[in-house]
Amino acid sequence: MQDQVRGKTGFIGTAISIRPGLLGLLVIFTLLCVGNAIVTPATAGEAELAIGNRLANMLRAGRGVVSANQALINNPDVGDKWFTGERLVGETEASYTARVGSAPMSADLSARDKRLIEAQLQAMRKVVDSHQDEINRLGVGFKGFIPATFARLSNEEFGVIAGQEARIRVTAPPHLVRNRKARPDAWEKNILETRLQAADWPKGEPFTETVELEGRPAFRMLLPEYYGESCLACHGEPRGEMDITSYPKEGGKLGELAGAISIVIFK
Amino acid sequence: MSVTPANDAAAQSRRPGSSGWGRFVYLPLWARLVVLTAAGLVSLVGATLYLSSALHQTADRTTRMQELFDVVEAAGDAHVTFGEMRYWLTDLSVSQLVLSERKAEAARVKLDNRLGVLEKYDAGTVTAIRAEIEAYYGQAMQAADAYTDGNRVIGNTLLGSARSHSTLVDEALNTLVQRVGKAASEERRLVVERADAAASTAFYIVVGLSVVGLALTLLVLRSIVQPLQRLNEAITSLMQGNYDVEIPDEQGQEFGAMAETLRRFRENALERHRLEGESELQKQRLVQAEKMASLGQLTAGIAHEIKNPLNFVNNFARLSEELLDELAEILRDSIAALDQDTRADAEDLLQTVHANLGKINEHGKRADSIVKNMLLHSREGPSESRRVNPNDIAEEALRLAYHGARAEQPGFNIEMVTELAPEAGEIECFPQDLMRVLLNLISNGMYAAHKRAAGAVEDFAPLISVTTRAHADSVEIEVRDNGHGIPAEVRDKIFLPFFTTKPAGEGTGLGLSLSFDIIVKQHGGELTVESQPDDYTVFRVSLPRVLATTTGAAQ
Repeated sequence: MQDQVRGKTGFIGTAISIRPGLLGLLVIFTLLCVGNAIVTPATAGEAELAIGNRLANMLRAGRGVVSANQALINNPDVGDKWFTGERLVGETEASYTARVGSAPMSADLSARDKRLIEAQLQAMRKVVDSHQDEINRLGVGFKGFIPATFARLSNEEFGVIAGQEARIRVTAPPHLVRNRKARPDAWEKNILETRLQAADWPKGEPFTETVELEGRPAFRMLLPEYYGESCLACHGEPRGEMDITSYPKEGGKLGELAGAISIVIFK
Repeated sequence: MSVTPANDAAAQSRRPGSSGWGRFVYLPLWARLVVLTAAGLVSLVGATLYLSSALHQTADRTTRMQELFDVVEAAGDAHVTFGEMRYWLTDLSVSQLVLSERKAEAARVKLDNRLGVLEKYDAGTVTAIRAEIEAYYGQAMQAADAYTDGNRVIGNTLLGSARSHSTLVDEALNTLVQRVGKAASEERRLVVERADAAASTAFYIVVGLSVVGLALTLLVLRSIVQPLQRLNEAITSLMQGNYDVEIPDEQGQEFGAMAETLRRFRENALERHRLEGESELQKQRLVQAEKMASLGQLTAGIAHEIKNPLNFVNNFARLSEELLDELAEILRDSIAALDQDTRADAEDLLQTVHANLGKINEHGKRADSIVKNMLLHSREGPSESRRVNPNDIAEEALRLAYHGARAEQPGFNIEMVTELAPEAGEIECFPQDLMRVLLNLISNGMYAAHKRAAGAVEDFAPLISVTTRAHADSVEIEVRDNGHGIPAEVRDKIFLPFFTTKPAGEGTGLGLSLSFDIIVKQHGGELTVESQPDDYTVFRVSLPRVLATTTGAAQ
């Protein structure tokens, strides 16, 4: 708690430079809090579904690593924390393997899938490495480098590397979106509202559809994410109360739909 | 008896006539009070209407002022809200937070609403401001989108462009706030000024109405108190017996009636006073009549006592005359036989005695005549009453009197005039007694006229006139002579018995006294005298046509 308060003070001091990133991270952090869903391959577009699930699980694993190291990152007293890209990638792969039961990268993967997993790992590494100055900054507690921000930055970096083949982003129903960058597009908004938010939608069930995107046929996948216990510190009740970033809480409840991981695989 | 003409004239001249106050005092008291109350009510209603109208106007002004202050508030709000909007749009460009976007949008909606209020005040300016806001908002959102998409350079450019619009809006709103504020202050100054003016006007109205009301009240009080005071003074004077006091000529129903009542009261009092005086006079007359009556009885008693001895004197005188004649016859020879001297003495003696006896008889007769008149005076042996024509009696009396006078004085002459009313008709009277009265009056008149003629140096024609006048219930007989008249100092005494102005031996002093009794007591008429010394004397006999039965019988 003491750390958080001091961290907040530090955050305000550097607000101008880190704010956009920080708030973006918050969204991702939100989605990190969601429990991992067991992803089952769909009959149609099975390959796309498989790589989609893999990318999603990888993202969750990476967020989990940042979350697990949050205390370290937020420690204002430690300078060089050795929380590097290499370390994150290693821990993420380990987490993924522990969670899914197999390593993210395997020989049986298609060339495209390998490229995509590799791109994701590369993006994550780059994000952590490029934020070493922030992470290692002395005297600042809460630095805004949180799972959500990490996830967004990684996804953006992924887009830079493999944007022509696939895209990953985290979005949410409009009223829950904090950063404009996480605003759902028309397809996402529609699926969120008509499917994932529907009362009879099986919990954790992803929605998949092959649609046209930017003039190309694309496999689209939307994986629901639900509020976990740790999410509610910033997104729970009472609604409107300010969280650590001075953003009003959404008033979410445990297990409610909090957002979705949106994956596009161009054909 | 009535209000004197002078009083009336004074009252008329004092009466203001058609002036307002004059009309006012003619009003009955209740109407005056109604006028007073109505005037009070009218002023109250008028003042209230004025004040309510003034308050209404002030209220209208205040409402207008309030509206202006609403505009001022809206302008201030708009300015502040625009600042908020600008902040959140800027914040959005930096943070890309949806929250900032929402707040910017909320501020925009609120700003639009505030501008809606301002639109009523200055539509042109507001339209211009709206256009600028629209441009600013659009470009700022485009900038935010550019930042969100990671296009920092484009974002900066767009935000810079938006800034010029926001500056314009800020300045316009600032100017508007100041302008509206100034207008509202001016309006407030006006409202205060008008309220002050209305308050002081109301004050003057209240003071004015109070003064007028007080004056009106005093006037009404005066119109009541003054007449009361005047009437009170008149009543007090009347109660003190001062009947000459002027009764105020009050106007109006109540005081007019009071004054009229007071006037009647005074008339009654005066009438009573007069009647009391008359009654006193009658009482004195009665006493006089009583005196006369007892004098008459006394006279009658004396006359009765004297009459018998007088008869003896007269009879014996006459008898003695006869006896003396017989004695002279008897003694004629004897006397003739006497010597010359003795015979002369005897004859002289006889003649002297004869003459003496003649004088005794003559004066005895005169005494007898006096006694007879005295007895007549006492009314012994009343005659019968009859209906006769008074003209006949008057003519007869004139004729008898003339012949009587001629018989007494052979050279007697007088001009006689009769003026007898043909319509005199008949009256019931005692003719002999009436004749005696008229004879008396005419003889006295002839005597007076003749006496004046005898002593007159210049040419004087003695005149006696008898006039009768017919009235409905009475007849008047007037006997007029142009003698010396009756001096005022003796006029009261002429009806007293034994009063006479004739030389001793010529009048008994009973004629007028007797006449008075006959006319007044026997006939119930009137006998009055009017005389101008050295000019004329008129006796008027007024007789009722019908006798009061009790009068004649009792006397």
